Amino acid sequence: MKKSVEIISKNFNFKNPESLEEYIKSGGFSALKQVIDMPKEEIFDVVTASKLKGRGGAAYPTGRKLQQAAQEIADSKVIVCNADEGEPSTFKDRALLEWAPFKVLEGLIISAYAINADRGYIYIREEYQKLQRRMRTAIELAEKENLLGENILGKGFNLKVEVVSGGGAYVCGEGSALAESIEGKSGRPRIKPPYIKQKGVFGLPTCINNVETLAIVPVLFSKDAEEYLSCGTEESKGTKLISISGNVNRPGVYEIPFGLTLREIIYDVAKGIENDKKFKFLQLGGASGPIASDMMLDVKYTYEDFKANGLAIGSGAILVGDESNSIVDYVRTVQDFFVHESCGKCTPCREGNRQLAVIIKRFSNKIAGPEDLASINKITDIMKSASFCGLGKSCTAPLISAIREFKEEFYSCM
Amino acid sequence: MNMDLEKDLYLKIEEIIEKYENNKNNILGILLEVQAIAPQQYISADIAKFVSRSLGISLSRTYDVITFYSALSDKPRGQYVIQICNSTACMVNKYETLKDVLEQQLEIKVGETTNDGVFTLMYSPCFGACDVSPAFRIGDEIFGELSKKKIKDIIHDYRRENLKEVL
Amino acid sequence: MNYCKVIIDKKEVSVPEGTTILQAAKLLNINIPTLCYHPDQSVKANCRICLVEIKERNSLVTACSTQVWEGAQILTNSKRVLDARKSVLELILANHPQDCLKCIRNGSCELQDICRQFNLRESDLSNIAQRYPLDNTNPSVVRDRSKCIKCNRCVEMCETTQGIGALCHSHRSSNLTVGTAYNETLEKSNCIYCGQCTTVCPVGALYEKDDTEKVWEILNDKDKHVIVQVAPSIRVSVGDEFNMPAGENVTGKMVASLRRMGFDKVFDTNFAADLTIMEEGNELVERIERNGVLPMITSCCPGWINYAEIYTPSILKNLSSCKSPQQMFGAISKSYYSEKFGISPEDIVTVSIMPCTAKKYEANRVEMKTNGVKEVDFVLTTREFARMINTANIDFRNIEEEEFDSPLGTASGAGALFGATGGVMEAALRSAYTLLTNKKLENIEFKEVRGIKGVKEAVININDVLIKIAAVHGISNVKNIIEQIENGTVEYSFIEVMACVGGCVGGGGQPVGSTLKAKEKRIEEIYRIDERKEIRESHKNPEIIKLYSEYLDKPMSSSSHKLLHTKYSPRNID
Repeated sequence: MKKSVEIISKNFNFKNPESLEEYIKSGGFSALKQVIDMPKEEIFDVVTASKLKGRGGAAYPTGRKLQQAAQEIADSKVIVCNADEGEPSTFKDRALLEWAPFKVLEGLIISAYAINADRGYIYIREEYQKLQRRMRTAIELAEKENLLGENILGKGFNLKVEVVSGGGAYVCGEGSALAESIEGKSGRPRIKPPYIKQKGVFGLPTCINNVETLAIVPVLFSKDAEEYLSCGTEESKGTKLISISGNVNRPGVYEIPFGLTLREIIYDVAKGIENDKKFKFLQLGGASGPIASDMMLDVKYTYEDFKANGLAIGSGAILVGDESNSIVDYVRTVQDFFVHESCGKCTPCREGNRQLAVIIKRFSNKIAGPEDLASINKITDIMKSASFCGLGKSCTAPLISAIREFKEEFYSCM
Repeated sequence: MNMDLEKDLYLKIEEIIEKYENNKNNILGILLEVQAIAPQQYISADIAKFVSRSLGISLSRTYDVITFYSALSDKPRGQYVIQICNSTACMVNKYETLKDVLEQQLEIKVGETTNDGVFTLMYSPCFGACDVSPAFRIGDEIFGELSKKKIKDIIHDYRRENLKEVL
Repeated sequence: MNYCKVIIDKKEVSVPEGTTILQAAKLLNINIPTLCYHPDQSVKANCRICLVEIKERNSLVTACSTQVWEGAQILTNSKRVLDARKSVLELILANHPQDCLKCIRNGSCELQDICRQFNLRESDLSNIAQRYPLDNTNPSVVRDRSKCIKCNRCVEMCETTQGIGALCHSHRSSNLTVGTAYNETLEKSNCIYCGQCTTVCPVGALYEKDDTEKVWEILNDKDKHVIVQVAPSIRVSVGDEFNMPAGENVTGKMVASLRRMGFDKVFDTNFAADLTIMEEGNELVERIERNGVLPMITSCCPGWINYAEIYTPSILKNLSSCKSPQQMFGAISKSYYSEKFGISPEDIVTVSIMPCTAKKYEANRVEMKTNGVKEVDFVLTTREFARMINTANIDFRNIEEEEFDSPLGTASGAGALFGATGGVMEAALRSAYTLLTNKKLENIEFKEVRGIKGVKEAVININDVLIKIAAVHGISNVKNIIEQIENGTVEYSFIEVMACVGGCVGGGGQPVGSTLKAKEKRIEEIYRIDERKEIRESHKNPEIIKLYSEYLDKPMSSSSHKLLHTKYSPRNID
């Protein structure tokens, strides 16, 4: 199997990513032109058959999501591109927005057409201000060519898209918090039901998709579809953009076919550990992903293999740590992140994260006691089962997996 | 404060609010742009009151937005805010070395502002520069793959930029 | 309407779709514990105390926010649920001061109740509660941020119910703060001191300024003649603090308790309410007959006055110039009463028992002085009154009833109505009608202005002119009407405004946890008090008639103006 491919990332070496001409010359917007004449059912069928799952981390089947969104009846519907990319060690969406803004836009327009949305928001994190400007330019150019705006391609389809800036809040990656943010409020998640697919941005049915998910949509309707679908496994079709970073020689964004092993990714694609150091651990999927030891290096990078091994594809982040790192200190870094990013609304996440930070500091300073392990159990348990939203529920995964995989190191701090 | 400067500032703020169609739903975008032109890079109570009144929302709601989002500040800062990433990738790539060099060169500790009000040094969660980590950013400029000399040059360039603005 | 069959703790119940687990359980007499939940507010689901277990999903959900579905099997007291609730409680307590014994809510705190119910004995979590300085620079409300459990009830009350927004939530994570913008004092945050926040706070984070110690001291001062006036709503509310049914009329016990506490005379604010009607009724007539500023808006609610002065000074000209009953009483106590009984004003101390925190601010206003002394020296809320009854060892439920003193203790049914929203309006109309038509009003009950609808309207035919009136309660309901006044489209001639929902029976100084249901019961009792009175119109009150003939001459006379009327002025902080 080829280790690194260029299907989603085909345009990454364009001289001028802001040139609509160049994009169209290479086949861009041919997918939209095809889709706009297709019956909607067929669009859903193609996406469903590709087994495409949400690439932001939730991995919800995209075909089903679009179909459900299409079923909502309303005068106005909203489609959102979630480019908040707050997940630590994840930067693949940055690459897409930088090198393939039109691809993302095309995917957004196609999805909007499929679900009958007339309003679109591209929510880009505040830290990517340059990329906000790039996307605004792309929107303007697309509007000029009748690929966006009123009566797109003369087919009576209207879609107005605007770029909205984030404000530096990881929790705004959560759907309802994102809706709150677009509405000009603080991004605290909402009570569900109602779900945002029924009542989202400004109370309208809203469909939120990750940047990478949207970028793949036009691929499925282009001449690259066959190559894309030939990669990967039966359950995990196609390719994935991974962000690999940490103590590796070649950190970066790579497009890999599903099915490579983690060992191949780390040693072949990213050219191994820096300075010939020994591999110690990796964290997959972002800050709330489980921490794994070298026992997992031969697991294949697919949804099904990961699920069987208690791992998570998540955002496609792969963070590699070598022997010079203390797991306890690493977990402390992760914990500090969640303390910083919790929205503060619910007791388990707000108070739980705070308590965990205090306890982990004791481990870090080597003054922990057995009651601390018991407290960790109690706190992580209640956070997992009773937090208001996904952030609180999943943020304890790294700590729990680290204690399980690196028991001795924690005990040595007691 | 120079009254002309103040009036000038409020005129510019009005322009920003108009650009965003006087729509209170755009408060985040508005505050980000206002902060960029506000003295000491923060939203003071006076500015917050002005923006709230113009948009027809309560000061409370504006304050909630300012304090919720990390990109906005309700406290004065330096002209240039240097944000060092202290998240996962930068941690395994030893961001402390970056911090040590910056603290030494600026002669302040993380969380402080230089006496001349030019630089504030802070930590920041991941801003997606993991492939060049350890990294820091100033506004939307990312700095990675650094050396002591490179850092020195960067600080020097920004100081010069600041002098140009002041003069 | 579709129904669902739900099984809670192995008992079956059938409920309409959309019912929450919390509501369904109540029907089975299962009281799932809650903390941030409030029956008169939106569901918040942020405390996570009300966790229950979904058997078939092996998961926990919050009962307040989860709707039932057909065949749902729910456990409310399995070991898993009990452990989970304890964990949540431990987390809350780890960030809460543990000085219950000194806290104003000791014994009436919802967090204490839950601790008791959960039987929490010990916790491994470190107590890392942060302490913050008190915000107590205003005379009405005290804010103790250290005790806040971030339930957000006060934010919803201030922002949504009252439409003020002086309190807000801000910051993130463990810095999440329920407080004011830029951490200013309430005083500088344009708070109107209505105290509604103090009635919904489950703990001791927001409470009334306590003046009980000062009053004990003055009661102990043999050189002072200490008199007390009691507001219309107290007699149907203070019983709540002694576990009596909501709305029970405890007038006699209330008077007896005050005498037992040491007050030299116990008088009735309802008397002063009649006086207010005399002045205000005549003022309205004058404005109608002489093309004065209309609509005229009532001015007896200090929360409303604060709102008008801070937020909408353009309508100050519409306000009645009458002082509130509290202040009219105070003025009369330091003039008429002083002269009649030969006690110098400096030696008279007038205390008022009010359902209201803003009354403390009102009594402190510099212009509220008569003969060089404060008209009302101290204001005690219903809650402080109850505390004093307890401190005085009085067995409130069994104390023998007593009557008010004269000459400031007789009131008509109209005066009694002031405690209910629409009451001032009804009382005023009874007298205004007679004043304008010289006829007796046949039907003295104006049912259209009764009840808890936000804005109530009525039309009365006076001398063949149809006069439109309105009664409004809750500040957010008044904004619309102010807009109408400002752009000249208003149709009302006379408007009653109460800042608190329900009127004074729902005041900011009332027993905590007063639900809408309790307020409605209090209102019902107030109308019964009126019905039982022989005299139901203010202008027929013999003590009022005597006051005018002996002292004030007539309503709107120069003496009346000097003592019983006041001015307002804009006071926006910005």
